[in-house]
Amino acid sequence: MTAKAKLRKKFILSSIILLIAIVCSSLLSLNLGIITISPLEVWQTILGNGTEQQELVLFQFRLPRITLAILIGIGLAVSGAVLQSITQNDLAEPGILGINAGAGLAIVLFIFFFQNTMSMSEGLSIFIMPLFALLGAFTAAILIYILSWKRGVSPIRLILVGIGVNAGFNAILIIFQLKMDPQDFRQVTVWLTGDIWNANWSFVYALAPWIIILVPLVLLKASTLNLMHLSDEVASGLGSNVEVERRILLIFAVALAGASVAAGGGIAFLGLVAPHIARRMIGPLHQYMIPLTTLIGAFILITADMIANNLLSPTALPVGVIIAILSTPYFIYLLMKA
Amino acid sequence: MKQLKTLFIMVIFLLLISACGQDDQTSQAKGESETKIYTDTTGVEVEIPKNPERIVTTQYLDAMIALGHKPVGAATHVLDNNYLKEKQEGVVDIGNPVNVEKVLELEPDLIITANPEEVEQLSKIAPTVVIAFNAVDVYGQLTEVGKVLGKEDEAEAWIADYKEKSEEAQEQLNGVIGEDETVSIFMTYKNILRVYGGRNIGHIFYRSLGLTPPPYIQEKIADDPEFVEFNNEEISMEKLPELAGDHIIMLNYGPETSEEGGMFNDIENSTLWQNLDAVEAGNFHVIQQEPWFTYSPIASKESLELSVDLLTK
Repeated sequence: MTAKAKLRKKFILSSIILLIAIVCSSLLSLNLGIITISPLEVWQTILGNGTEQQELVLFQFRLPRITLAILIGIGLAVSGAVLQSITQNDLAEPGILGINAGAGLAIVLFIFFFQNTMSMSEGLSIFIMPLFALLGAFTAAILIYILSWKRGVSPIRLILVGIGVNAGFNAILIIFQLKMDPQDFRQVTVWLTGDIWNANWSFVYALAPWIIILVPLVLLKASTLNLMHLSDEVASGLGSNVEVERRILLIFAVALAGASVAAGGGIAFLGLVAPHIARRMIGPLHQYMIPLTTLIGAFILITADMIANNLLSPTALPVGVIIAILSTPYFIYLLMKA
Repeated sequence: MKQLKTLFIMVIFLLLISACGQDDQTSQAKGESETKIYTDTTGVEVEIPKNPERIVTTQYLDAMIALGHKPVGAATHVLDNNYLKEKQEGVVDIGNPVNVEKVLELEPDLIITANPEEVEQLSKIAPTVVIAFNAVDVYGQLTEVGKVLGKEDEAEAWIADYKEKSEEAQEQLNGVIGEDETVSIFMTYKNILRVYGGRNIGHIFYRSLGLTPPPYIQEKIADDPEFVEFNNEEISMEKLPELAGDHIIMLNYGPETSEEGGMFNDIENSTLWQNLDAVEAGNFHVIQQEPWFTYSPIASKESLELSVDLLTK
């Protein structure tokens, strides 16, 4: 069998395994919670024979959370993959580049300035915060891009400026947080470490278009990503307009990360770890790597969310913390292997 | 193939584990009890039971207990206090952020929240009303919760009783603080310094005891007569002489502020502070966050009771 065919076979096998893993963890997550529902009852409810309360718990509380976890997992993982390729740096991810901090700062500013002076109707307030987060993410990205422009944007400048902007935004964030009453401060901290507690179908519908549209777009650019991952010289030598492509891909990455962070709070590390694992499984070919990254991202977040919600009931741990805990052994392992 | 087999076995195993839970819940019998319409602070009209029994709240534990109707569940951050003690016994923790399944498990017939974002999910469990924390002052908290519970009379009585006690306290303090003397309220938190108005800490001193704030705060209060907007302002240490009155109340929130590098530590050791008239005359009082910093009915009453001793010491 040729190397190409072998790779393809490996890709299909890995995808199937991951899809099964996703289904399993989703089912497990569906079954776990404070209200006990046995697997048989879960099945019955899916068929339409459950009680009103079971339908409420499964279809209005748990299912939207799991769906949101899948979407956010995909969004952050693909964003990380794209950022790693366009910066030719495997340690890049939306959190490090300051996109999380930008979104977080926007949320903090919103809570600080507007939440107490605006008496909002329920419908509006649910969407304004995520909107602010998205705006914050894009502002951070635009700032980073402008600051790293010097007859083009080199990958290394992008990363360094990103780290700087991240530090700057985080500092401003802390200043504002300390100005708040401890109650608001708590609310912000919850948001910053990532939590999918307010998962309802409205959020899912709001996030879904971003993922459904942007991820295929990224996939279409797989060949470009392959080239950019190598180096700028190779890429432009082979006919790619490096600056334009980098800009477009950056927009995709920021949009994906911004939307995901707006829905799920500041979840760090996912965009870093998922592409890494994908690359180890299937290599750097983006036609295979991106799809695997989406599956890995979804699986990790479903699992982390399940742990976060059920470990210390009724308190929900921040999902971001769980992912950080799960990622740390992996990093240590990488360090040891290097 | 081997991997698939292992995965399959894992699936069966996991399903078996989750099968160990037995569901013994009966569906709720929804009786035809009377309802009324309540317009909450976000302007939304909600149909709520006239005589709610099982109530869950994410904020107003204090006010509900003051009105004699203990909730079945409350959020972690309001349960986390030292001043309610046995009064909150039996109230179940619903987490913070609110765990919707925990709330569902408690089978409430009414939910009172302070956060509009929580309404969408909570209203699927039971009728949910919003009393925004910054839409009312502490009397308003009691009045609104009273309206929701159908206990308007009790709320009025509580407020009348509190105002009576305030007047008693004012008489007891006659002569301790001169009529033309001002009292400033500061708060330190980590390395932040703030001056407070008539909400929160200021409620006792300015509103209940009728003491006079410094001119700057008087202006702020004049602009906000309902006591819903102005809470506090962050200031730098250099402003202390300008804002410090003849008497100073200092609330230190958390341990960090008194440790090295913390704001209160810096203030105490500064000549700026030591040269203030109030400090030289010994007219400054330090208070801790409980119950002073909690802006709710029972906490305010306790603070009121502590205030006379505090100022006459």
